[in-house]
Amino acid sequence: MSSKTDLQELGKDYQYGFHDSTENYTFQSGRGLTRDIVERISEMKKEPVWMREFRLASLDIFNKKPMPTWGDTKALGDIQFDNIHYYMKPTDKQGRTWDEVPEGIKKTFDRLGIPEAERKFLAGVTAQYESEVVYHSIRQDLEKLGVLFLGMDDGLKQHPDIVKKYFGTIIPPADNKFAALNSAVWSGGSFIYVPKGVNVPIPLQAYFRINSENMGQFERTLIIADEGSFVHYIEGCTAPTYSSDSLHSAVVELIALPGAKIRYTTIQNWSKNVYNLVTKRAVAHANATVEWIDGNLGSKLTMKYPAVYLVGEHARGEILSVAFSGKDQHQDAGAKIVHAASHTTSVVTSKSISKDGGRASYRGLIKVHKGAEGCKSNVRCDALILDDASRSDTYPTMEVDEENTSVDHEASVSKIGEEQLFYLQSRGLSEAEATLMIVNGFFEPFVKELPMEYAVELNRLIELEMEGSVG
Amino acid sequence: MTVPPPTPAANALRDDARTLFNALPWPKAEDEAWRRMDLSFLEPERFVPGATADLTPGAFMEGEATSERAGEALWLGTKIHARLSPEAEAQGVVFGSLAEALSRCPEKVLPFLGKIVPPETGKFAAWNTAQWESGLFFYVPKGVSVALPFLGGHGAGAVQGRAIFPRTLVVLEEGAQATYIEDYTALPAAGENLSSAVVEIALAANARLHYIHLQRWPAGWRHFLKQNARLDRDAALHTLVVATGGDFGRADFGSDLNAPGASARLYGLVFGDGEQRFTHHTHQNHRAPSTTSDLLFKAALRDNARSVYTGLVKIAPEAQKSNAYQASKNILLSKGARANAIPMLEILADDVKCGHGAAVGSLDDDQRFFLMSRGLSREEAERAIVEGFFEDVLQRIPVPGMPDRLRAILDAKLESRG
Repeated sequence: MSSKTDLQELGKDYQYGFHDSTENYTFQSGRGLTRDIVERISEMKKEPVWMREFRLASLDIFNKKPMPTWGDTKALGDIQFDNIHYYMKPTDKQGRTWDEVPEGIKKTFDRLGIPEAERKFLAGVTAQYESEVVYHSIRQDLEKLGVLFLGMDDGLKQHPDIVKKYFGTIIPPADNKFAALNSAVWSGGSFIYVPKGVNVPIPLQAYFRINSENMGQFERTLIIADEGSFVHYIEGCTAPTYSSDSLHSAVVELIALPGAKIRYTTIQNWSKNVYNLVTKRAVAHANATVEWIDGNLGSKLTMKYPAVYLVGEHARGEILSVAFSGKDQHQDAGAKIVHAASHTTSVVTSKSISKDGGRASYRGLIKVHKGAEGCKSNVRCDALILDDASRSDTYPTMEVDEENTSVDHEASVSKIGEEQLFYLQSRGLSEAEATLMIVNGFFEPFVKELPMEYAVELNRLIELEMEGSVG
Repeated sequence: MTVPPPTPAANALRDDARTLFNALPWPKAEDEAWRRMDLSFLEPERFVPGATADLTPGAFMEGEATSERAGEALWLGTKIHARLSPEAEAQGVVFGSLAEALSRCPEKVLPFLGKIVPPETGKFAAWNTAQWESGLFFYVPKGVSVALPFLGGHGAGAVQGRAIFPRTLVVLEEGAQATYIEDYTALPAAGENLSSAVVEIALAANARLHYIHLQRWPAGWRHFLKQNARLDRDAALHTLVVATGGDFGRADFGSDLNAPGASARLYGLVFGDGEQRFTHHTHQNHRAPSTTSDLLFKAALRDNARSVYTGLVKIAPEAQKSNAYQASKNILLSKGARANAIPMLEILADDVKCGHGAAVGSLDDDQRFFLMSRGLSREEAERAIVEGFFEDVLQRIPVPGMPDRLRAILDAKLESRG
């Protein structure tokens, strides 16, 4: 931290902004979306007929559905669907060991530190580059227990019965325009099945990378945790910095069967020219628990509201959402919990910081269905605004159709307390250091839920974002 | 007494509003502001404008008792009953028909009429601005402080298939202080009726107003209200909106804090039963530095009654050092009752204190058990809990005698269990 000017430069630095040549790609669809492209994707993937039909039906829904009339409608209106490459296949083969991955892609992931992370602590890794999974591995002991961890395309090939049973059941294509788009052109993503009673002790990880300009990445993830099992899945995302925009629109479906527990952690650090419009939804059966840990640092506009449908008695949903919104960013993030069975409980914690003209919005829904008795829900939102150019919004909705319920929501928005700053500065910290310390403390509940390597990385990212914020 | 004809400016306001009304569509279920509502209640076009029958002044909340009030202006249906104490008159207070004031002292009315709730606000505001007949004007001159409350009333006799358009304009000049209570009610009748009301409040610098709005329409009525207050420097508004009547009520109320030091306290109290439907929307617009607002909205719902509350606190970039709070509390007393709460914040300034809270809960079993163990019956215990639920709003009403009158209104409804 030498001088103020240097700090401001640092703050603008996005370290994952580099990109590789796309010359050697196996296949690139042209710009725009047509029936032909959808058929071509399905054909290249040698998919069963039902999936092809599913894609085509979804395309019709996408074409008919209007854009959302809420959220950041202005930014949404700027998306140029005709300018996007909907499918890019960088390589023919999927690597099983790191050495089999094509040199260029490997270099990218090496720069991002992926296999290194795997060697350290992960039980399995999937790496997706553009539309396809390029690398995939899983620890042998877990494989022996029957844990399936595959790219979604391989999942469909090798376990068509399981995929057909669950695919699109939690988020049907007609759910929203972007879910329909994903359903039509999906490629890649993860497929996980954890058998009854199996505990996957260390996290499974996926890494998503967009490389080209005007790319659309539409991965599809399906996780099924059978009765009494446990799995923790982590995903991270980056993209190069281009002058025109890319679109990331994933669909993630989680099914926690009775007594199972799924924890799903995302740290999204897309470059600031990526639209991140993602539908994530989980179903928790009796006594099951689903936790979404959702961190949003990057992207131009994120609209993402992880959801848990509590459909069995004593199911539990927990959502921890953290957003950091800087210059030219709008993080419209939140949470959705539907209590559809008795004695279900939920906790939503949202923390957001806006800075340098950024806008952070919390948008949430707590719904208690008629007949779902004795439900309890607690929502807590905290927002920090670091300067007068920035903005914070809170849009919570509570719909309670059952008398015997307790639903609470509380939110506060403030700037960093002058007393706090004064106290820390009186202990010899600079204003910048004191601010960073307060911001770190603010994010603490999120950071402590992460595996250590991620926590360290996140703290470093926050430090980068914060640099140059106070002079 | 003959009323001079309206000025050209007043006619122009009506004509423009009529053009706007004709151009605007009726709300549709897809509209974000209406989508949580059953719009089959709406069908506004089958109502004929204008009341045809009157009620007596006594039908309003103790409308004939005069000793403890500085004046009344009560629309009985087709005609107005107005009285102003000699003291208030001597101080220059104007209180009575809006149409009359518009002709006699347009300079007091026109700067505000249709400016605080502009017809552009929407279909209902435009409708009222084009159609209103039974208007009230309450004016307190500069520096005048009146301790006794004023009572306004908008009502109708036993009518059927009628639409009425109550309109109120309150203007307090610099440093003026007053308490104004307004009651909305009609005689029960078999048919269905509609009321589409607009209330505009203008508070100049340092003015202080307590305003209480009571919606007590009988069964068969649907009520729409657009209420807004405009506050100048260091002005203070204390307002309470009470809704117990009608089949369907949609009320929007709030304040624009336009200058430093302005502060608004906004309270809402809803008690619904049977098949009643209530929708309330509040706004707290902080448009200047160092402004304060505090909102507490409470709804108790019995039988199959439903309430939707949405509220927006908006802090403009220039409204630094503002302080805003918004709370929505709901209690569901029966299996069929439902509540939605959507408290929203949009904050574009950084040096502010802003928060909100919302809760939906049921009768607390522990509280009920405790009261029953002390010998209260189940019904008595429930009643005590509901009274307690409303009590923190009632206690904040700084108008002598008013909390007791409201308690009586709520009690009567609590006892009417059918």
